[in-house]
Amino acid sequence: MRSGARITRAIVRLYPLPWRARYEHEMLALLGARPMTLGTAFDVARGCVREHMVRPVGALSPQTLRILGGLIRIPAAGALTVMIAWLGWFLANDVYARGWTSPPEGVSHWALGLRALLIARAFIAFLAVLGGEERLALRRFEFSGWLAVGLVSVMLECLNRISVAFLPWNAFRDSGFEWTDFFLPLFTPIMFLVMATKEAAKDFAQIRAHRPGGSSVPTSILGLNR
Amino acid sequence: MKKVHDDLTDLGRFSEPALLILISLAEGPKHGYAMTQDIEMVSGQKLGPGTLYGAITRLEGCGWIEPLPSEDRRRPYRLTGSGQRVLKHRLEAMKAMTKAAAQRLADA
Repeated sequence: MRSGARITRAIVRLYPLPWRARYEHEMLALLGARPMTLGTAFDVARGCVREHMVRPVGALSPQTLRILGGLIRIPAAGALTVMIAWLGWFLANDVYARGWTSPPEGVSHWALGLRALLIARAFIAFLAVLGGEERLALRRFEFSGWLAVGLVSVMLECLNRISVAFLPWNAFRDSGFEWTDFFLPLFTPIMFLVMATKEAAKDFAQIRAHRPGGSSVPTSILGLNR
Repeated sequence: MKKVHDDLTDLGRFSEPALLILISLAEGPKHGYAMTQDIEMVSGQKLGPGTLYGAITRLEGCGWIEPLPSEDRRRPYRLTGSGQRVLKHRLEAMKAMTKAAAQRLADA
């Protein structure tokens, strides 16, 4: 037997046991009836990963799925939102410490713009949570917006304040900061986390509904499912 | 336009291979290799074994296809009644979409 065929058959043996019990002989018969290529091996390997990702999810109760959904989504969403909340806090501190009426030159002009953007994003997140049929589109827009704000913020900070930007404790060191500056940046990540948790529960419910089929991973937060 | 009820789209990335399998089985029962040959002839697409059996697993899980007694290692599948309904709905939706697209092209 050629090495490519041996490798592909070895990959088939890596499929989940319940799947193998049902489909392995058929799959091996199919593999034996067609020419073995690199694309075939890749396709079989990808199928193996998908089956492993779907099966455990399908076996869990709805309550467990709901909790797991939150646990999986929250770290991903949380890492992003905490970063942006901190940037918002830092930039707001920078602006307010110098006063609204006479913002300093340089980064603080950008900071004003970014703060306005954060407020707009908070409003969109709020709509996304409350939204009905349009929620999916809003959620995708929200997520891409967060990425854009995060990337722009980091880029600007790298250009202007690299000595302090990546040290979070430095953001709290300057005097003149007011607690009210924190409310809007904090409101946005909270709304986003609520939204992400709800959507995770929906994703897992969909996977469970199509057991053993359905989407392989809860990827709808990235807009990859459809 | 009223949305056509079409559960095939719920299969996510497997919706297209699942549709091709349903179309292939509409002609009569087939095993995996015969399906890949038929699908390639009808659509020009080569379904890999992983994709084919991924879609078969999901279609069987949904009750849209069912296995027949095995002929050796190759097990044939056939369309169920609900599978026929799903395929019909999907084809009607595609027909409506094609008609609308052709009309727009003609009007352009």
